[in-house]
Amino acid sequence: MSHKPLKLIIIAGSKGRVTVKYPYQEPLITPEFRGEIEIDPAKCIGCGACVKACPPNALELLESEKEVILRYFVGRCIFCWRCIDVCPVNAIKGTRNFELATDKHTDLYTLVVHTRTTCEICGKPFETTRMQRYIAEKSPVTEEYASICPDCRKRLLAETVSARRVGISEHKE
Amino acid sequence: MLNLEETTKYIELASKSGGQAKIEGDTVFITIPPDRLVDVADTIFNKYNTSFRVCAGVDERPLNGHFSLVHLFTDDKAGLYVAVKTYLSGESPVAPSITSVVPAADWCEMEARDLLGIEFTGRETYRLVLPPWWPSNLYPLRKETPYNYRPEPRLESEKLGYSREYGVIPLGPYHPALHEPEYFELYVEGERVVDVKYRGFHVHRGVEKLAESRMSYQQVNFLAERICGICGFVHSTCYALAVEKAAKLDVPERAQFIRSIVLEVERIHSHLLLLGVAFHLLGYDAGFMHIWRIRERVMQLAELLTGSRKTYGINLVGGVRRDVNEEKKQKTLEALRELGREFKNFIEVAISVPQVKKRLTRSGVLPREEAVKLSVEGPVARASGVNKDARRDLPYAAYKYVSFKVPVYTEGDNLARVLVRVDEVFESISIIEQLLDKLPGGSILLTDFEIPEGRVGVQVVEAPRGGDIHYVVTGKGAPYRWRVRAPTYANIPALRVMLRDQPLADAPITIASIDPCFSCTDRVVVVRDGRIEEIKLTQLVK
Amino acid sequence: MYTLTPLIVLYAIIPVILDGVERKLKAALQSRIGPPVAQTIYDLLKLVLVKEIKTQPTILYVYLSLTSSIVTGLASLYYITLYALRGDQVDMFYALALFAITTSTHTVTPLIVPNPYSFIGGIREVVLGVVNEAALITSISLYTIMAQRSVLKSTQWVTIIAVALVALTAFIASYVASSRVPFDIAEAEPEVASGIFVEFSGSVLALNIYSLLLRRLIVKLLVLAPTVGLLYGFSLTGLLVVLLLLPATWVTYATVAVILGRSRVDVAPLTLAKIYIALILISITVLLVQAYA
Repeated sequence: MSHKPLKLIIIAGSKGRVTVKYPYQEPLITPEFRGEIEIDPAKCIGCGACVKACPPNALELLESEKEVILRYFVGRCIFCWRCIDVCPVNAIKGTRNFELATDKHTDLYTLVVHTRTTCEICGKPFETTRMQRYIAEKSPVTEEYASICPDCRKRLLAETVSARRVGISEHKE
Repeated sequence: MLNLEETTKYIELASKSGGQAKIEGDTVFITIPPDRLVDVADTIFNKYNTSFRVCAGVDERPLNGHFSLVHLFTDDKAGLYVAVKTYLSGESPVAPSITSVVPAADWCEMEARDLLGIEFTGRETYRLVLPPWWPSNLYPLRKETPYNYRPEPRLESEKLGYSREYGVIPLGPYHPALHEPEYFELYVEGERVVDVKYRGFHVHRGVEKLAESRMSYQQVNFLAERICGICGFVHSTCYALAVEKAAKLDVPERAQFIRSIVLEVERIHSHLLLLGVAFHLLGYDAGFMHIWRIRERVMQLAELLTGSRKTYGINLVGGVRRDVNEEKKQKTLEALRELGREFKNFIEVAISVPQVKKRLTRSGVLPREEAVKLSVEGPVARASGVNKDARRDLPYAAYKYVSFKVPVYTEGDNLARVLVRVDEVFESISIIEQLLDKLPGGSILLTDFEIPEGRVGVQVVEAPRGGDIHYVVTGKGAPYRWRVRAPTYANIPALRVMLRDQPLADAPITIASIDPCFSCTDRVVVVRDGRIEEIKLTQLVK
Repeated sequence: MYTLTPLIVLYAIIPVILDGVERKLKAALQSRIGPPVAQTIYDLLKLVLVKEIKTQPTILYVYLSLTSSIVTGLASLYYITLYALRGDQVDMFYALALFAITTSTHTVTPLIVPNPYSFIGGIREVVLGVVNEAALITSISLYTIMAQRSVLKSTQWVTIIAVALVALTAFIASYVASSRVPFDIAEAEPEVASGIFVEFSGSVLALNIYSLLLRRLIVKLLVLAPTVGLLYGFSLTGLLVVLLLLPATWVTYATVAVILGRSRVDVAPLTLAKIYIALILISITVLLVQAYA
């Protein structure tokens, strides 16, 4: 029987105690750690890019007549931060917060509520006000064009093309 | 290493069997009529000495009105993937079974039968993957079955096996020694294990069906990472590499280097985990605690490099999401140096404990012939003298730029499997140091690309437990078919050989020595009358 | 007898406190903080207060066997104390007889529980016990006979060697009987899911654990008393020395348990049997040589 097993005592002595009395002491996380996200409601335009990228559907877009709600349910979040990658206006910020347990399940939901604009022509609601403003700023379209819903835009385009082909407008009274 | 001259024999074989062959990169795609399947499989497996990996059934009826069955082999010496495909009738698909010439194909055929309804001739068939109460005409992987349809379960209580001559000891599904639910039924005579019956299936999550139905290409990376807790990054890298191969994307070199570095970090963490668990099962708890203390350093290193201790989430199709800067590189090198020193110091003490050494030596022996016949993977194969390592044979990511030794032992007992893993930890440390040294500049993510439909990509990545294979058929915005076979799938059949005539006390350590990852496997293995059948659960809709 | 009552109470409490110390030491050797020293007290209290899950009807017999194990154990301790005070070897033989009853009633308990794990654990304990109890009783009896101060005064080195060998055998047997790693095969967690403890919960489990801890105390005092008697003498101060040496012995046994792994039921009894037979034969031979020389 060799003496090597006894070396354990020396190793344990030199290393000391490595366990930490969490939660009475600080948890060991590095600055790189990915925790929950925070959505800045002032910047969010309600485009839904984060919803499309989110693998477990923690971010959802709930649509009703007058408003569009971006709902973040931290219970499903896998802290991958893909939403932060794809947000066009950098409205989402990552934190190092992971101590999220609570006894009120409503704490787990964050809602960002957006108003919707209605189409100039058909009156149906189609996108958020902020998104409309964002498009008008960023892309070379007139504000008039940006306030028409996609269905009406398609119809207008079809009409214009057919008018050019036939020479008369379909809707001539 | 890749040797394209070797492809001529496959092309000739294909044309001789009335089919065609196509070479794309390092993969040979052979399409043959179903009646020639057995002969071709025989030639490829037995005559050309390839490894059989898995077979995948694909429902291609929306595309061309047929089902298809693909058998995947790898020619390790030539560095080639060989995909043998046959088309089956769309109405009632029937295929000849190749288990008479390739015994390792047993389970994947039964899985294709359960999940797609492909019947096999020339073999005994049974229900493997699906539970007994599953309706018999409901095939989860067919395109018309919705992914969230749940048939009513009929709950029945499971009865313990009955044997007249032997005592029956159940190990699982809930057992303090097991970390995941699995069920082993050990037939014992006194304290000697005579036979073992195993049934898994308890953590099937329908991962493959999910990826096809409601995810997009980039989202599947995160799903793949969660196939396994310990080797998740291997699955996500393998999927990304398979899709990139299919779409012929030119991924930046720096991204491949970072992927390789994180893969090796994962290998170190996984091996340290297993060594700790092995010591615990031998009663040497001090070994367990100290090894996991050393492993803690690797977890912190992973968090530094990727942002998370596990499920790193840095892989995307086209590259990675986090970079390695100079400060991280220095910290990594320092952490690895200290890790290597502490680990070397400790493992000498741990292996010299008399009980540990005595119980590991000459227990759970897997002879070399059985290892080759059952196509076992990873350290289990390398401990039995089979020199097989996908990092060297089928180089992927940045492994072609580094040099490393592949440890091979010949005894095939538990101690050999432990020592293979110990050596691999040191090799991994050396690989990471080489990679950090040679890290090229450039971007880490390819953003502007299209993934065309109808392409096929096959990729093998060497997980800590062996070769993990992903087979991807691209579709529109999401994979059309995704087949995963984890390495533990191939290793569990070897348990029957290893547990024979072992004392009961050594059963847990033998089971643990193959480093089973049952959630990775998503399968079930049933040992019946001398054969182990595995049941794959990856398509089972809960 | 009545003056010793406070001492018996002390004996009832000491093993629980020392077990807490042992767990703290084990944690220190494994580089962790570990539970507080009073943890075993908390555990036993909780087990007594928690609702018991009765899984089979043999529980009444289990209560009886465990209670008799504890009572005979305390009686055995009483006789060891008497021996340490007066040096009368008959007291030690009474103590050994009572200890044999303690061990056998504790060992038989898992065998009457209808659970395969419990049964396997119990059989392992029986197999190990058969080898070890015989050696324990033989070696301690011999040790007691030889443990007189006059022995040390003798200049015959053969006698001293014989006594040393018998003492060594007694200490090894005492360690094995304390049911620690490498010999805790009866309750091996990985293969038999807590073996002998598997069907017990609540106050029955508390009794079981307490009986085990009491046994650990007895086996240490069984070897400490003759040792102190041999080196120092039998008196009140002798008893105090025994009690003072007890924590150090406990800590030594605990350290040995931490640095070793668990043995196997087919390996351990055979190895032990070989060692014991060798040691005892050598010491008897030495004694005979000395007697005839």
